[in-house]
Amino acid sequence: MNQDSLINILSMGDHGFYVWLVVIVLFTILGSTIILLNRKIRQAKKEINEEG
Amino acid sequence: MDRDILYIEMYKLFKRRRAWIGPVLVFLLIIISFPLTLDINSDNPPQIYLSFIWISTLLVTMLGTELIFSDDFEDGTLEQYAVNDQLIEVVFYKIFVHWVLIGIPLAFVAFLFILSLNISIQISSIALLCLIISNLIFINFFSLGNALSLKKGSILGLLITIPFLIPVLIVLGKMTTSALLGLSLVGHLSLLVGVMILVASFIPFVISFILRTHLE
Amino acid sequence: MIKKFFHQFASPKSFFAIANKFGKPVLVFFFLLYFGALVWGLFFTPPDAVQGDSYRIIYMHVPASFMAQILFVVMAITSAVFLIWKLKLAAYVSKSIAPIGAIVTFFALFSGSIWGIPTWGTWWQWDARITSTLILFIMYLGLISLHASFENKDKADKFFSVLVLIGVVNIPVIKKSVDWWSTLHQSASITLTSKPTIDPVMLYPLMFSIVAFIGLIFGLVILSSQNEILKREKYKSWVKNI
Repeated sequence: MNQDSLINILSMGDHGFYVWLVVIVLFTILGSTIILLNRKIRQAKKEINEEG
Repeated sequence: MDRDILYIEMYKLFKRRRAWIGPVLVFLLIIISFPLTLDINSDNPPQIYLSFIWISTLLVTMLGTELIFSDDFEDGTLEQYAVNDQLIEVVFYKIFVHWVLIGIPLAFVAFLFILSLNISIQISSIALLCLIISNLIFINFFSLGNALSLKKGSILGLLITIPFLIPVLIVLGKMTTSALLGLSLVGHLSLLVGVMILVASFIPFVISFILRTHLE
Repeated sequence: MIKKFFHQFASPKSFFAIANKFGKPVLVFFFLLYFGALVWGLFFTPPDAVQGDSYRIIYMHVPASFMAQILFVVMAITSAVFLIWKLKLAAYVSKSIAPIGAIVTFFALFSGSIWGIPTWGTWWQWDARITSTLILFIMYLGLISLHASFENKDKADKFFSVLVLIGVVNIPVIKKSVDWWSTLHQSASITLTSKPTIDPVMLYPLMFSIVAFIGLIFGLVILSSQNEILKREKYKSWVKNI
């Protein structure tokens, strides 16, 4: 597979922009939710350990 | 069924004049400001006015029921009723009283407004009937919202109850179109009455459950 | 028998222990699975004959709109369990579904409107499905703010559950009435339903992505329930041992 055909696949024709926009937003939302929840859980655990 | 509670509730709301004259006056003011923002002499389709009436009655009934439980909750009257196991009756009567003193007057003010727009008397009286029926549904749901958001302000109550009222608004919108086309309204009206009976007999039980949880 | 089961396995403590052990692997597994489904859908399927490449948003939009509704039903089930059996864990799970549901519904709306730009030429249509999804989104937000407005979280749980149950009865009514309403606008009826049946080449990755997305979202719900349990049971003695 050469570089041109890779770019061709990734750009997905005329509407590739919309698809990529949705992909990026989806993974931003999912990723930030997971990171946020993990951080909250870790913080809560730390707090409990400090108190106990 | 204790008839005294009904009289007490009626008297209490009646004595607090601002609580029931206020919403009617606010509604009147909104109605006055509507023609001022829309050129009333041009040929606007009547749907615009009717849709405006539905939505502003929706909001004004919310304003009117804002304090339906909070006063009695604060001075302990509700607790008294709960102890006597009369909470359901009080909720029923409160809703009924608010409907009589706020819902029905609003419907008549709206009726006068619709008449003033040269809309035929048949359509106006159908709108009056619809408003009387739908105001009872609105008041039931808003009482639910106010019971949930007791002392938390009416924004929360509106936010959680308006989604449930969207079907009623859609029925009203459908009725408007059919009435203006001159179609039969029996089906729509019986649907609305059915919803009213269902809502008015079911929601008070939910409300009294919520109030009891508040009182725990 | 049922009671025994509830008391042994459905206490916040044992749920937390299980979730702590399996939650993250499950989440990572479904995340990778969904990623794989997306790669399949985005790069290894032919473009649609009518919509070209923009149809590929389907692999994100359809799972999200599906989950937006399923999550409300799941929330209603856990709320009913809470109200009937007074099971605290059910209330915690119920409460932690709401924000996830709001996020998923928001994404469904967002991806739908982005999809609308190339296909319909507009980012918003007052069509039945879109409108009822928007109402669903507002209902999630209302539930969240109801729960947040109470200091006393035990009361908040009860009110939340009651409202969820009323909501789940109302959602079909709202959907039906919105469907009925949208026949008013017959001229503008470019809906997804009128699309021809989908080709297997696209259907398999779609089903694959739906399944993976369900798992992914339930992994998120487990994570969020863990957070809720820690927040609410902060002062219980079992929390000290984790």
